[in-house]
Amino acid sequence: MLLARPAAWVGALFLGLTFGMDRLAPLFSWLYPDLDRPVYTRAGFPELALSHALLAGSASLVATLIGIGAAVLATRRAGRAFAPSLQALTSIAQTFPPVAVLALAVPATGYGALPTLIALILYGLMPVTSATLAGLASVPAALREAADGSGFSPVARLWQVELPLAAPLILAGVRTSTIIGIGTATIGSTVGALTLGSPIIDGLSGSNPAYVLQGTVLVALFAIFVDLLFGEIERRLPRL
Amino acid sequence: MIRLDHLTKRYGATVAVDDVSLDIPAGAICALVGPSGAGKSTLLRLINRLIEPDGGCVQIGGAEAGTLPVVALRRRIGYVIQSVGLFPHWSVARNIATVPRLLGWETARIERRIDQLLDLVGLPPSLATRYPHELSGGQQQRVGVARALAAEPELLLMDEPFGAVDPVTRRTLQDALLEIQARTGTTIILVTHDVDEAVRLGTVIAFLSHGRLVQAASPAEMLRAPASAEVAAFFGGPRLGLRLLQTASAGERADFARTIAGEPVEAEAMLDEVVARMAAAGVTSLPVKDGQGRRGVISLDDVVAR
Repeated sequence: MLLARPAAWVGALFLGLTFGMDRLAPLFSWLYPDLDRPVYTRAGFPELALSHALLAGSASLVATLIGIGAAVLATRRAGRAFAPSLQALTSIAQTFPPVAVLALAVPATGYGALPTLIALILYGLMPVTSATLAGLASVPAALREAADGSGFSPVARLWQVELPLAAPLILAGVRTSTIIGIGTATIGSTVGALTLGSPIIDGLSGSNPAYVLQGTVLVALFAIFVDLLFGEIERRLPRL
Repeated sequence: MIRLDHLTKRYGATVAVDDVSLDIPAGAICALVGPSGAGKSTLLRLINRLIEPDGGCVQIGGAEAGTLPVVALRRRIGYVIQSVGLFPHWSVARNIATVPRLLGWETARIERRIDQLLDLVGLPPSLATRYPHELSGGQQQRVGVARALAAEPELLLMDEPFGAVDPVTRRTLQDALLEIQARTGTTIILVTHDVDEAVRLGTVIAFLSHGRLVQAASPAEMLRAPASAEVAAFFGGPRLGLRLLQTASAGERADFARTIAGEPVEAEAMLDEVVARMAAAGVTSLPVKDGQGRRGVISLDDVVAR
């Protein structure tokens, strides 16, 4: 039962390590006998995980809303002229290394969570937008014609026909965007955001490999857990 | 009544529909025929305003279609397309309920209507919960017709509705459509490439060429007096007379004053079937029987008489 739902046991492992990292102090002492402090203590792991999740989660939410909204707009009659520039814009946003976006955002917004949030949103936009464009384009023309001929209003056609049919592709885009966001949020700690990247950054600058290991394992488990969760949702979508 | 009044639609320099005027009486089945690119589908789509005309207007039951809100207009007009276009994420019942739901009918009324329609198009009630991909092509097309008829439209537009199904299924669907039409009295305008389908289904045939209406007449009139060589060629050229045999039934030509021995043909059988039976049996006259049990005779002379 548990093995059949990997999301459940990866999630349990992630939570267990988040709340029980202190108890593993003997393990890290044994692995790295030279270290005075074998477990990261500047902030608690539950606090780091929560902050990381909020940052990545809110960025994904905003990127999803903007991304789907922009793609929908670009496929309506009024916004069709805007479609090529949208594709170009989101591709450019993706080619910026996230560190560069962070570095550019800091002078504008100061240190902390805000520049990280901006970078994550910009970075998360492209997978959602291009997936939504692809999803909407995958709706057969005959179905759009049948919907129009039946007397759907444009909004009803979008909500009842186009978005449900595009949903699997859109969800795949949101999945990619969110997983990228969880990974990228880690480097937000270089500009002062509190994330699971904090022990990694501190460990690297303070030559403490135990910190690096703790942060890395938790970020990886978190990303895998969320990815598996999306997998569960995708499986629940009706097969067409 | 549907009145097309000097309808014109241009695409750049090409005139897709060129000054077409046509009256289609209520309860008629009008078959739009003609070569590819003649403007048949364009004309159909001008009626439910999927395309807006460049000139002229459409009147439906005395109201000018162009002045009605387009969404409301389309909900009054059933629309069936060749690719069917059933919504794959909805069950058969939900697909049939499309327009009633858009119109905001009560749930109980919608459910009653779904049952009626499944019966009308000849599908078992058990199909209601199935999804389109679980159905055969013929079943899908029946659901498409049920969906188009759901809100009791005064007009049904069909764009090559049976073009994608095999000939046997097509024939069954044509019979079903005739039966449905007889029960509902809905006016139908149908685009078809299939000459036999036009002759079989149409009470009026409208022949289009290069966007112009060349001839509009009953199948028998059009076959007896095609307006141009193009019309005659379309209906079979030298073999056009064979199609004339599809426009009258044995009962209309039989002599019920006398009878002869042999296996009788049904009075509803079309004359082409009578000729086929004669050819198969090597005779020139056959007994006829009608629904009331009357018996008569039809001879080859009756078949070819005008």
